[in-house]
Amino acid sequence: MRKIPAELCVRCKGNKHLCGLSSCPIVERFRTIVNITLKVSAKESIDGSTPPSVVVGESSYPRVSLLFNVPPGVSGEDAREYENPKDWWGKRSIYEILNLRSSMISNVLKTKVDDVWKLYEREISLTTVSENPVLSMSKVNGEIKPSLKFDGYLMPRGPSINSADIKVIENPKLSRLMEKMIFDDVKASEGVIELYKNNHDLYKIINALSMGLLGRKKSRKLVPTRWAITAVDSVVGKDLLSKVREYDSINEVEVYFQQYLGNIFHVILYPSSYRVAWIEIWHPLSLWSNELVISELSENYWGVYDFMDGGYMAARLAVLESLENRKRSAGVIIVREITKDYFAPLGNWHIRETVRRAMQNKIATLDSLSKGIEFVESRLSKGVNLKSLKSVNGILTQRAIDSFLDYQGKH
Amino acid sequence: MKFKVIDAKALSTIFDVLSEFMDTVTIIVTKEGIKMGGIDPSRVAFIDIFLPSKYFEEFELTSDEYLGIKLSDVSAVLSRTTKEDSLIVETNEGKINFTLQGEFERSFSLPLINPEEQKSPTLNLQFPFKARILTSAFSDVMSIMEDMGEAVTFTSEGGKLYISVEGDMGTSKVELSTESGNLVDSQGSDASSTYSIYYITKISKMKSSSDILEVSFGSQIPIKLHYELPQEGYGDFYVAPRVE
Repeated sequence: MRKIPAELCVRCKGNKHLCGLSSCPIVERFRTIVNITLKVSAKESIDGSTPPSVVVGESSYPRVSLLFNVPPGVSGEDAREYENPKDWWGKRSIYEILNLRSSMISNVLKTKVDDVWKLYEREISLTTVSENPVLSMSKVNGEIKPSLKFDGYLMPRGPSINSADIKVIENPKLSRLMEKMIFDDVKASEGVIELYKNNHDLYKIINALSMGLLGRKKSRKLVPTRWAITAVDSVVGKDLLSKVREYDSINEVEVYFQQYLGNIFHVILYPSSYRVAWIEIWHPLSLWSNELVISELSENYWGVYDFMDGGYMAARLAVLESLENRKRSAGVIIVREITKDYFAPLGNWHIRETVRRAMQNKIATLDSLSKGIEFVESRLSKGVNLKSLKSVNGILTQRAIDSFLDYQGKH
Repeated sequence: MKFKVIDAKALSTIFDVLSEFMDTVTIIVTKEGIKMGGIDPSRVAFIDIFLPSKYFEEFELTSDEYLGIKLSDVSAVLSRTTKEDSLIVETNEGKINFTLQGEFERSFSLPLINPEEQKSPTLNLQFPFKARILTSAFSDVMSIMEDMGEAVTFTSEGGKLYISVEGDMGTSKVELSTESGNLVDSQGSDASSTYSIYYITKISKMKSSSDILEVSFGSQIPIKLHYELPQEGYGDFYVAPRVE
């Protein structure tokens, strides 16, 4: 995260906004931790329903930490809201999400990635793909580590505590297809696509892959959640792209827009075969940056991109979904602006969800790509020249071979 | 229809390069030989490949045939081809069969797909500059340039050919001339044009099928990479320019 000089915070004490943020992250964090520790102090077990929420860590792989997240004392439907990205969208503010997330406790189980079946027998893995929140009880040992965890891909996590045992009290409720995929011996990628095609929540599919519930039975392993998120985005994206590439191109330049949590998205679709430029504009005082920083990534017709970026994969999925629905192909430019209001990373789910909403919100139709780019430029904060960017310039300058061809016998 | 080539590697490379540009291709077989190609789906490159009947060790045909094939499948079955192999291709009741003969014989049978409508466009361009170069030298230059940036500029000046890339780190430039021995010959006037390096690099893999390449270009027009194949066969690759 952006380093705020400590001197500033000492003088400020969270009141004067010297760091330029609209509220003090330290205070915010402190507040939620105080809430949580009060509720669970002097207890040997943590009871509550998991929304469900789980994270498989990646450090010290293959001996990983499994974090089973539970809001203490909250049970039944009320627990759902603690991990509910689809319904959060547009309603929950960054503070509310931070509050929800940090009032959950991560029960930490150390496990080996091969222990898929042990977790399955204890119903821990089934709980993570349940349609409903599931009541559980965790026998804890040690102290609560009162710190919040932030990450560019994962949702924020609350304080954690080592767990000796997690008991699942209620029955997890699984869809019939999810049960079938768990019992079937098919490749993980096929399982992911099957679930996705049958309208399963992407976040449940991520949990299923992460907990080793999909794939060839003898090669099932736990997959660190961060990897699973991008794996699901790219497996589904690859499947969609193979179809989208074949469709006819759109005829006009279309501009889409949406914003949420201090992230502003513009998507330009233009007549062309499929290719994508992804542009991120980090405003001064946004999360990871002190100055205006622009990063870009290009993907070509064949689906080859410059480098792997989890945020890009999430946005790309949303655009491909929309093209597949319309049965159209297009060239794509996605511009993401990150403003100072996005002061804590919340994971990449909001990128996926905001771009999904953007694709339902067309704000302009223009007759040339150049005009489309100028239009978006006029809506961005000053000082950003999109046309000068390598990725955009590459698109604007590339001629099509058709204009040099003669078709003999064409009447 | 049946044909045989002694150098299976040369033919499999042609299919391989084609497969990098398109998913399917229609092979047109006439008594003159074999033609295949088309416009790549990203509409930047145009490919025109001709293998005359003399190119083949054996060439049997009763009437003209249009054979639709899925290139990724062909490329997969031919991926283990070695220098020692010869290759027989024949059609039989909706199938195309590939037989590799070398240390041991391997046969593959693939379904034919519906051939696409053939428009056979042509490019009638006057290229101000032409140079011939060894395909291996050209491939070496492109693999050096590949990582340096995404746009490659071809410039001719006083009969010399300059290939340059402007990248994030800086500019890289290679000079080729007949004097230094790395051009076989060159002719024409000064010109300069920029192309996406991605396409040019993929084409340069043709070195396994051909020894000599003729590079033709002008300002703000496509580049033509003409790979000379035995018995007056050729692989022509046109790539549209980037124009500021």
